[in-house]
Amino acid sequence: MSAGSPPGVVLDPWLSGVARLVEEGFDQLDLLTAVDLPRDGVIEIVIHLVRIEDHAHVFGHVRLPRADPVLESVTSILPAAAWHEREIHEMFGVEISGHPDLRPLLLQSTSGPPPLRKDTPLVARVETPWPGAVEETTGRRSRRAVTPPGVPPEWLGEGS
Amino acid sequence: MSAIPPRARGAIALDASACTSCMICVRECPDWCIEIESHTIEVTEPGARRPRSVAVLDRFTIDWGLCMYCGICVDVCPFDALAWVPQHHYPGVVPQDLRHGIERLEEFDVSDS
Ligand code: SF4
Ligand code: SF4
Repeated sequence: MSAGSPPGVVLDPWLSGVARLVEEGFDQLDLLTAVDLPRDGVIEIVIHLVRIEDHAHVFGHVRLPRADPVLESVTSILPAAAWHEREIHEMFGVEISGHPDLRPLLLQSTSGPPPLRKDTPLVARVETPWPGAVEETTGRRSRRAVTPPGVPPEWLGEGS
Repeated sequence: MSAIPPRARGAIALDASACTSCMICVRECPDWCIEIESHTIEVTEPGARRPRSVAVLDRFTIDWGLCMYCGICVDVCPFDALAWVPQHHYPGVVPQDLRHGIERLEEFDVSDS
């Protein structure tokens, strides 16, 4: 396990790796999601599976290239994964191969940049004027640059 | 029903007399839900040679519809003008009702916590 990886096992290739865990009795899908790691250039897929009989559980993950992420659908072995995969598809821009029905799940349109990619501007941050831009009236100048913390400067348009 | 713990994060009370309008809480709030308006007046203390600029707080608003109760504003205020109180029952009929100004933020009872 490399530094920064979540706990659990690497499932690469993904589908056969998940299938092996399901065969070991981990057939209850608890979680299937993704994490965008722009610095590493990857989208990390995370699955959490539970084995009901002895309450054992396991995390599995795989890293996909951020530029062209394609994930094998596990719906053939875990039908409940269908919604999770649709969500990963629309929110992170991950192609899901072999999915029976990739209609948008929560978004009305998937034409824009994937909302949960970290470089996708948060519309509320771009359009809302930052209340901190108001000058303080103490007479002293603020010692640091007055920009909202945590917001990439390129998101800040004229309104902020 | 069990009592609400005194240190529960129900609401944030404002002590407007302690607030210097320094804007630190406004700028640190990750949700951008605090707004302040203020102006400066000149005050000459007895015995002082020159007048001093003092900020007067005109408006202080927290939008509870946006607030995520992280407590950063309470932590960063250098003048202890903000404090957690356990009161949590302040519903609104329209979103605007969840924007509390100085009067309502001062009403929260700090002695309760
Ligand atoms: S508790 Fe957090 S979100 Fe709420 S006003 Fe304070 S800093 Fe903002
Ligand atoms: S940080 Fe404290 S003193 Fe400064 S504006 Fe906010 S409440 Fe007032």
